[in-house]
Amino acid sequence: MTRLTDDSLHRREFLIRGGRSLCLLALGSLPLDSCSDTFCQSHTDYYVKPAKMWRRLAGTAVECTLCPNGCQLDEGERGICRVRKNIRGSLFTVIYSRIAASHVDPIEKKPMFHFLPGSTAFSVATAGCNLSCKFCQNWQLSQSNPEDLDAVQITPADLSQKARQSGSRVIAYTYNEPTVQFEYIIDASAVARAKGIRSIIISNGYIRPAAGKMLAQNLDAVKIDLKAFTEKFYSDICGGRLTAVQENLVSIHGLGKWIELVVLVIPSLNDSQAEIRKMTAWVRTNLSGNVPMHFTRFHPMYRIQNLPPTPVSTLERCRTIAKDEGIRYPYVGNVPGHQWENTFCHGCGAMIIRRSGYFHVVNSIKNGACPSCGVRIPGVWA
Amino acid sequence: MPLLRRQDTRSVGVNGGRRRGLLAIAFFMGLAAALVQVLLIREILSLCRGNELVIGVIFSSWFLGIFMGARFNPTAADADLQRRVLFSTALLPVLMAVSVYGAHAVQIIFPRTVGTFYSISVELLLALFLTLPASFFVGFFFPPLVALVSGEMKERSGGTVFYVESMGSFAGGIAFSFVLVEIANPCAIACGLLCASFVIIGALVNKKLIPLALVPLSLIFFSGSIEDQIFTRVWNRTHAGKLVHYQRTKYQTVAVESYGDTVSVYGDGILMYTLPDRFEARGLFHLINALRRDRGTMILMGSGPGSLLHNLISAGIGHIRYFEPDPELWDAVYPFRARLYPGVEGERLSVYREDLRHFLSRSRERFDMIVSIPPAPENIMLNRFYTREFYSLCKRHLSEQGIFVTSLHGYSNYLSEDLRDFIASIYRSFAAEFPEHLKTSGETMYLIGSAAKGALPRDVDELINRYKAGLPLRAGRLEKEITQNYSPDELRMFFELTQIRYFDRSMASAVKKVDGNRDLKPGAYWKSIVLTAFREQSLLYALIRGFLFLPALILVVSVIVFGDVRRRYGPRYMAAGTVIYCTGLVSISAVLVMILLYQNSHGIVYYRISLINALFMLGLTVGSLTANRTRIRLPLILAGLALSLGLVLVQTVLNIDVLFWALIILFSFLCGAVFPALFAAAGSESYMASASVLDSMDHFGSIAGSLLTVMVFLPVFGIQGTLIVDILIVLLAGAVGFLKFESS
Repeated sequence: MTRLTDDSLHRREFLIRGGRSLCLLALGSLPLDSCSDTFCQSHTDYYVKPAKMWRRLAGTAVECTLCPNGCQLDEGERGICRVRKNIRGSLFTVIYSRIAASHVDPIEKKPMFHFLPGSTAFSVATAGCNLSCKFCQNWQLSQSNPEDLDAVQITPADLSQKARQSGSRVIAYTYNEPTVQFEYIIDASAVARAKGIRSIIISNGYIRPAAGKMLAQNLDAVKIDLKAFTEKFYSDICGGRLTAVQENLVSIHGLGKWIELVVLVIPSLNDSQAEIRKMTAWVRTNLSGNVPMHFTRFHPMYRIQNLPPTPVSTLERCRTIAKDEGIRYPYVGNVPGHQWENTFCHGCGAMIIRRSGYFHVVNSIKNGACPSCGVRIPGVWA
Repeated sequence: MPLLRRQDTRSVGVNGGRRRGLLAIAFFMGLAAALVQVLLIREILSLCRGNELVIGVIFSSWFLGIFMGARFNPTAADADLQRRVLFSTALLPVLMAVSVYGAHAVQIIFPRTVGTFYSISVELLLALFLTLPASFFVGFFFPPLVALVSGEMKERSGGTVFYVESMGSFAGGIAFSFVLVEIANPCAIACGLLCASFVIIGALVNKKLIPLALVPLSLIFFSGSIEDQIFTRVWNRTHAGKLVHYQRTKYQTVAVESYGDTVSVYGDGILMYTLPDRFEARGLFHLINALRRDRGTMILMGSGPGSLLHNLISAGIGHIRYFEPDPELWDAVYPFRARLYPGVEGERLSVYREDLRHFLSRSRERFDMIVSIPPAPENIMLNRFYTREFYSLCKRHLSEQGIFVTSLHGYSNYLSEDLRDFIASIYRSFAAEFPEHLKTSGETMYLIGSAAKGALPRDVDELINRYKAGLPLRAGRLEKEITQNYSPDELRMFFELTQIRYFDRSMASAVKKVDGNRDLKPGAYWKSIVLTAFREQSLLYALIRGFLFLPALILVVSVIVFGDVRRRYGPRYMAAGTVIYCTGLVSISAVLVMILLYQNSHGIVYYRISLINALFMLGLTVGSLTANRTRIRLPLILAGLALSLGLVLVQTVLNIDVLFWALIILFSFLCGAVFPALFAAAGSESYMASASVLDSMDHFGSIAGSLLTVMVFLPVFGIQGTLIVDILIVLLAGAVGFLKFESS
């Protein structure tokens, strides 16, 4: 073995120290998890509020009971949704009134075809989602931590005022998953109802029935993405469970809330005829044939960038299957100009709402009924 | 562990015939290495959404493999050394086939959700691991071969083997670029190489082995159907639809997939467009009609040859020039298109099978409308359709009231910081050329500009009024999906008020802090990679965001390696290693810059990468040969190298084709001259030690150069800044070389 000289000792020491310093320098330049208590402390006044729907576990751990994920969180941890956090043994929401996006959208864009057609919705969103769908359209919001987004504070009272100023009759909690704003929506929808403004959510329906009932109290309509009808799709593509969505759908429908369903049909992932037939039969049996179903066209998005758009013929086939299974108002969506974006009376087949994109809506419905045959059209029309 | 000494190599006693055989192996390995490298680049790009980052990693991995092969090659008896050389010779073609087709099989071994890509970090790792096996043996054969040949060639042996190998690489690059790319698939090339390796080994060792060459030779005739089977099976298992056609063009691998009643066209594995696309075309078709003039002339690029083209022809456009740079792509898609859109070609349509920028730069014509719908700027070739230079070029070719329409990745309701920066760099460049412009909202944004004031409507209401008062569309001649149920109010979908106000608010501050996207500082390209990494929440995102990590890591590893060389071989070798390390770093950095410059100038570069490499190898060969014979002084070589990089800097402004190719040769000539000059200066103790240290440090420098160039220099300094950094590194190497080898 070679004996080390003083010189080599110095060199080695230099190398070790230099290496350590450089590693520290390099690591220091990496963006570390910004989810620290400092964030919560500095934002206490604005966005951090005690959460509802949770229970204590042993020690300082808690379990969130808002959604079927049932995250068990040690102190300092956040749930899968990124927005509910265990702070000193209690669960807090860190996005109360924290609005990252607000726009005025036609209600048809949601899409809601049987709810105040032609109206506009003051649409708001924050960060976070309890699923992680690989085709998410609003992934910049849903898959981000709230502190990474630019946001403004809009209190429940301010929200109604802004909606009114924008000329909107409706407030839509949309873009990211609204149920993660549980506490805010409960407060804001109560204020809105008092001021005569309707509230809707555009949701994945992934919430526990008890929480869903509480959330829906002051809502006027719910649009739910029924993403597929297999557990495999939900677990592999979205990180959730189909049965939990089904339970919640039945629960909300039982409350008498207006529901519309959207099925994003993705080539080879959820477009088999058997699956669509099974899904529509379930909706007919467990909800109602009056629940409108929108079979919408997939376009490459988020993580699924390399899959062609859904053939229009596939959507048309889905619509035909749904009709066969007793769904009265199946639509083809994300295909502006398609004839089956229009609404046809289930009684006489007359066209009662003509749509060309979502800015051109000609509504012929009179007092909630078909002008040709007089049959009542399910929906919220005034 | 001690390495083979000079006196050991003398005892080998190689004769002339045997030496020629060994040099034939050097030539063969150079040739095979050039082919393996370019084929791996093509196949890995197909797997990894080809961009220069991946090319950089492939180069790094390539040099890492060679470095490891050269570095970890323990001394042994002559027979063992010969076995290693022969083993490498026979194994390389096999490894090439395994790596090339392994790149496709990876999708079956590690399944991913249909339609998704691996995360960019995983792609880079795959590029690394798929390249390493072949490159390891490219490095592994070198020191033993030097040792075997050195008995006769004495101190020049390292240089001789090096330039014979370089000559092989040059031949390989030329063969691929001008012949093989058109006629042979990787399977045929692997079989051909295997056949050649059997012949060489047989001639050198035992002639009875030569008939074995007939086996791979016969496989060449079945290579087409072998590859067909592999491609079809892999595709059908990993994609939504069925593969109905695939074709290797010299630009890319084209695949046509059938799903339901649609066909989708992929270039290098990336979805380009789907036919029919009537509903997709509807909105843009009416937007264009709201803007255009009757009987006008139009350029259309990037929309795909589907409904937009078909209906514009039917809607009274005077003449359309449709640009598709890959002629074989057009031919591959044509049968499907002809079935979906029968009888629309005619005098009103000209299909230009060339790059739009290339066309515009040599044409003096003006057009009433230029519509450019390029794919996202995920590589430099595509980025050049988003730069200020391109927008300026288009503006110069617009008629007096002409209108330019281009698209870019938009947003859904929210602009994250990365997306905002990405869009801002493009928007800034666009707005600088077209102060009069409109922009649309949505996931695909359209930027609409005109050089003339008043050519564009002020707002969507005026646009709709123009549409109503404008050209009558004869519905019977258009596809019904385009016209049915149409109301001009659909145009409002492009101009959602709150979305556009939000965009304006966001851009007001963003364009001030973000550089515009330029040819020589391709910011949007880099931001596109960052955005992709962010979207995939990949580890690379953290690395990019903390961009000091990579330079620090490379510095730490370099310090350790230099320390090791000094400990094992002494300060003289360390100095030699430093010089060759810097040369390796700069050489690959400059090659990458040259590839980018070529892309900026000509568009698709793939089949020219091998030509660039071939000329580089030619320069290396002549350089090493010259240095071997004439003993040029090292500082002079390095000074020349710095000067040649300065000329490359000039070329970025002048952009002269002849100068480009001449500079590659000049620059590589000087790079090639460094190795033998150093070998002669440092190799008096042991030939194998010199070969091992210099070869491995050369490649180690190249690894660092590839990574630093694509991940740090180019994003931070741009192309010209990278060249300046390269010049400074060469000057540093020159100083070391002068102090260590000249002053003494």
